Amino acid sequence: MLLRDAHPGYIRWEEYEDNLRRLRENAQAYGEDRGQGPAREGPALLQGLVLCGRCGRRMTVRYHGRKGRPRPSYVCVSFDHWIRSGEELQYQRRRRDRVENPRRTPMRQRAEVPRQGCFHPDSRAEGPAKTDDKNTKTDRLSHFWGSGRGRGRRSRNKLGLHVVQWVMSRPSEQRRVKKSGTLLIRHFFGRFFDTEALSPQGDPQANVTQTLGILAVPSAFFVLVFRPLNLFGWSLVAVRYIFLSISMILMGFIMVFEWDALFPDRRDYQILTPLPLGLSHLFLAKAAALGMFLGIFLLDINFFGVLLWRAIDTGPRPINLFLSHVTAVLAAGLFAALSVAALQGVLITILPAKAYRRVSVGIQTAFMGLLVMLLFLSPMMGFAMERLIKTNNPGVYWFPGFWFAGLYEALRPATHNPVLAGLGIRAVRALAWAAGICAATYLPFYRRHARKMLEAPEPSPSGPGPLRKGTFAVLDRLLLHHPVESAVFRFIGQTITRSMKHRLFLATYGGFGAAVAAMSLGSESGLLRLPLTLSFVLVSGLRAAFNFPSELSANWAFQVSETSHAGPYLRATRKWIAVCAILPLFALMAPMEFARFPWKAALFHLAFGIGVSMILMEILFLGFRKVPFTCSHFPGKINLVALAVVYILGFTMYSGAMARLESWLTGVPSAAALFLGIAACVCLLLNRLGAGDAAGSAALDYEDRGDPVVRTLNLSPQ
Amino acid sequence: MLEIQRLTKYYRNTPVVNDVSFTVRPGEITGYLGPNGSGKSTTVKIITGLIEATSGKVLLDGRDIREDPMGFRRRLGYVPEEAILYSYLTGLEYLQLIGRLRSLPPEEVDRKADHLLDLFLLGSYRHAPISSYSKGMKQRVLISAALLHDPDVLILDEPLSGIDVTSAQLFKHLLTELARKGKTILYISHVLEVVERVCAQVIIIYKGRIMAADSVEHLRGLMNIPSLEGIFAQLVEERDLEGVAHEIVETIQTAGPV
Repeated sequence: MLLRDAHPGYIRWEEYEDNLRRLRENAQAYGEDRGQGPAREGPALLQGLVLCGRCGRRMTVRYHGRKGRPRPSYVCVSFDHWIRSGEELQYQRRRRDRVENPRRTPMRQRAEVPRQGCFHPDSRAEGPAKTDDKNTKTDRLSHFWGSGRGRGRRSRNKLGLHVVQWVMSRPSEQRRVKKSGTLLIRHFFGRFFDTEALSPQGDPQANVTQTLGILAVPSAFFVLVFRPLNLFGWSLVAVRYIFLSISMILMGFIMVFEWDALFPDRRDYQILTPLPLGLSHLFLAKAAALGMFLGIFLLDINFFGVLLWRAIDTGPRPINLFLSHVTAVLAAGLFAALSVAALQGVLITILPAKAYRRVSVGIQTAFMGLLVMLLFLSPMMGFAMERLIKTNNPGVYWFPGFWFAGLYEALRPATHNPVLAGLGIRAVRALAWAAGICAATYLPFYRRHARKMLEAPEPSPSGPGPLRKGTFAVLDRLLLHHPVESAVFRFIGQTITRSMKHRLFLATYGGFGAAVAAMSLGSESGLLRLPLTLSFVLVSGLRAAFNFPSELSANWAFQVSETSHAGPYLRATRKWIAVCAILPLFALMAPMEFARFPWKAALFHLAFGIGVSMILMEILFLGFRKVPFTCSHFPGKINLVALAVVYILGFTMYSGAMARLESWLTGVPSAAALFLGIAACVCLLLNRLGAGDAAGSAALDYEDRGDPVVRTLNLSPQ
Repeated sequence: MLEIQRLTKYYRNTPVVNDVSFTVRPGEITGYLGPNGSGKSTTVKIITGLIEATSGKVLLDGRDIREDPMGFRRRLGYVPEEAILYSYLTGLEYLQLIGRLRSLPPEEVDRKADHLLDLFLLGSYRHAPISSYSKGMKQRVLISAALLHDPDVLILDEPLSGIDVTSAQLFKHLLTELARKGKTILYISHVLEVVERVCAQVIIIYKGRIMAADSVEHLRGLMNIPSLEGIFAQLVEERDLEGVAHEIVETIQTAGPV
C-alpha cells in the first residue's frame, strides 16, 4: 500500500521520482541519449548541455592537460568536430562543420543524419556522395582506428588513404568510374615520386617541386654561358647539340630512376586488386599518369632553353627558329625516354622473371654511369662533331645524339652540310621504332607482369655458389679476424650490390670517373694521372655512399648487437674499400700499365697508386665513426664549399702533383723504395689513429646530429 | 634478475613512462600488459638501450646496465614490436649478420642459423630475400636472431603478431622451456590468453603507470574476477567498445550529404 504525502517529508514525491530517474541514468554510461550519462569530474561547465550543430547529438567532454591544468574540449562522438574551451568558449571551425547553438539548429539538418535503426540501405542511391562527406568519413574511420596520430607517415600511407577515399566515392556508377580514374591517375603520378631513389627522406610531395626545379637548371645555365657568344655554323651546331643532349640525358636519368615504377609494383597490385577495378582500368590510369609525368618533365627540362633560345640563335625567322628548336629538343627527349622504356619492354618480354630482375639491375646501373659520363662529355662531343663528320667517322651514324643534331639541321640549316642533315632521317626512324616497340611490349605484357607480381615468392633453394663461399672462407681466414669485421664486411657488400639508391649513387661517381678517363686518354701525363684520379673518385664516392643510410629503421639490430668496441667495425670498412674497391681498380688498370710501360715501371706505378690510394682512404675516413649505411643523414648538412674545395684539390693538386712525383720516382729506384716504405708507415699510423683499439673505444654513431635549430657563435664560456 | 627501478621517461613535457618499478625473476616469465600507447614499448626500448630514460635505472643482477652496456647486450635477446629487418638480406644472411655482430665464432653462427631456420620451418626460404617474407616469417627470423647467442635475458615485444597457429603453439612451449632453463623473460603481449597460461606474474601498465604487478592467481583472488581479461578491463579504463563498434558500422553505412 502506498499513501502519498501522508507525512511531511524531506522531499516531495516528484523530487523522489526525479532522483530515481537520475540515479538510473547515471548508472548507465551509454544510454539512448549520450548526454544523460554520469557527470564527470572537471571544470567543464557545459557538460551535457552542448548539442552538436550538425547532428543534434549531445557532445561529450574530453580533457587535455595543458600547463598542468585540465582543459576541456567538447567533442561530438559521431563527427569529430569539437569546440575547445579556454578562458572563454572558443569556436573552432573544422572544415565546414560549425557548432551552433543547438536550440537553433534547424530540424532539417538534424533529420539528414540517419539515426540508428532508421537508416535504409536504398538511401545510398539517392545521389552521389559529396567529396566533403567522403573526407569526413575517411577522417572518422581513421579516427576510430587511431591512425590520426601518425601524421608523419602520411606520405607512406597515402595509398591506403586514397583507397579509403575511393571506396567511399560509391554512388553513381558513371561518376564513380570517372572519379576513381582521376584519383588513380593522381595516385600513380604521385607514386613516381615515392621511389626510394628520388625521396630518401620519404616526402614525395616536396620532391615534386624540388626535382622539377633541379632539372630545369641545366638548360638555363647553358643559355647564360653561351648568350654572350656570337654563334653560327658549326659552333651553333655544337651548342644545339649540348641542348639536345641535356634533354636526352635528363630524360634518361628520369627513366632510370623510374625503372621500377614504369609498371605498378607489388604494393599497388596488393592494394588495388581487391577493389572493384578492372586491370584495363589500372592500365589506362598508369599509362595516363606515365604520359603526364613524361610530358611535364620534358617541358620542364627544356623550359628555359626554349624560352631563352632567341638569345643564342639570333638568326632570321623567329617563329621557324622557335618551332625547330622545340621540335628537335622535345623529339630528342622523347626518344631517350621511349628507348629506355622500349628496352625494358623487350627485356620483360624475352627474359624469365628472375633473369629480368638480375639483368635490369645491371642495365639500370650501367645506364646511370653512361648518362653521367655523357653529361660531362657532351660539350666536348658537340665541338668535335665538325671534325667527326668531315672525316666521315662511322661513330656519327651510330650515336643518337648526332641524329637529333641532324634533325635540327634538316629543320633549320646552320652549316648546309648534307651528311649532317642526312642524319635527321635516322632520328625520325629511331623515334618511330622506340614508340612502336614501347607500344608493342608495354600493352601485352602488362597482364603478364600483373600476374607475376602477385605470385607468391618461390622458395629459392640455391644459395651462394662455391666460388663466393670459397672467397669468403679465404677472406675470413686471412683478413677478417674478428667476427664483427666479417659481419660488417659482408653487410657493406650486400648493401652496395642490392640497394638501388646506393648503386645509382655510385654509378654517378663511376660515370664521372669514366668521363675523366676518356678525357685523359690522350697524353702520357694523362695516363699517369688517370689511376690516381679514378681512385680519388672511387674512395670519395664510397665515403659519400656510406653516409647514406639504407633502411635506417632496421639499424636497431646493429645497436642492440653492439657487443664489441668500435675498432672491428671501423677496420672492416677500411678492409672492404681496400679489397673490393682499390685493388680491383688497379687490377683493371694493370693491363694498360703493362702495355704502355716497361714491366718494372708498370709494377712501380701500380704499387705507388695503391699506396697513395690507401693513404687517401685513411685520411678521408679519419673521422668516420659509423657502420656504413646505418647512421641517419641530413643532406642539408653537406658543406658544399668544403666539398668543392676537396674536389678541386683532388683533381688538380692531388692527381697532378702525385703523377709528377711518380714520374720522378720511377727514375730513382732507391727513392721509390723509400717512398713506398714511408707510405706504408704513414698508412699504418693513420689506421691506428682512425680505427685502432684506442680510437675504437668510443661508441659508434647512429644518429647524425644535424644542424642545431638555433645557431650560436659559441661566444659564451662553456 | 632484472630490476627496473623508478623508470621515468618524458617526451617533451608528457610522461610516457612514469615511475615504473618491477622485477623480472630468472626462471619465470613475466607478462607486461597494457593498451596501445600505455608505455610498454618505451619501457622496453629503455631496457634495451635504444632510448635513454629521463630518470630511474635498470639493474641486471644488482648492477646498473649503464655501467657495462656491452656486457648487458651480450646477455640480452630482444624481439622488437615491429618486424623491421634489412629486407634485401636473406633470412640466413640476417642471422649470420646478427650472430657475427654478437662476436660468435662464424662456424657456430652458420650451424645454429641453419638449424634454427629449419626448426622454425624457414629452411626452404633461407636464401630468399626477407622482402618476400610474410609477417609471420619475419617474426620467426626475429625470434631466431634473438635466441642465436643463448641469451640470459629475453625481452619479447609482441612476438606472436602475424604468426600462424602452429608456430604460436611452438612458441608457447619454447617459452616454457626457456624459463625452465633459468632464463629471465619479459613477455609483452596483447594476447591475454597466452599471458594467462604461461606467465608467472603479470604487470599491467596504463598511461605510463603500473596498475598491478602480481601473479595471475593472486590478482584473480584479490579482485574477485575469474579471468585476466576481466582484470585487465577493470584496471584499464577503455572506451565503450560496443558503442564504438556500433559507430563504425553506422559510419560505413551512412551515405549522402551529412
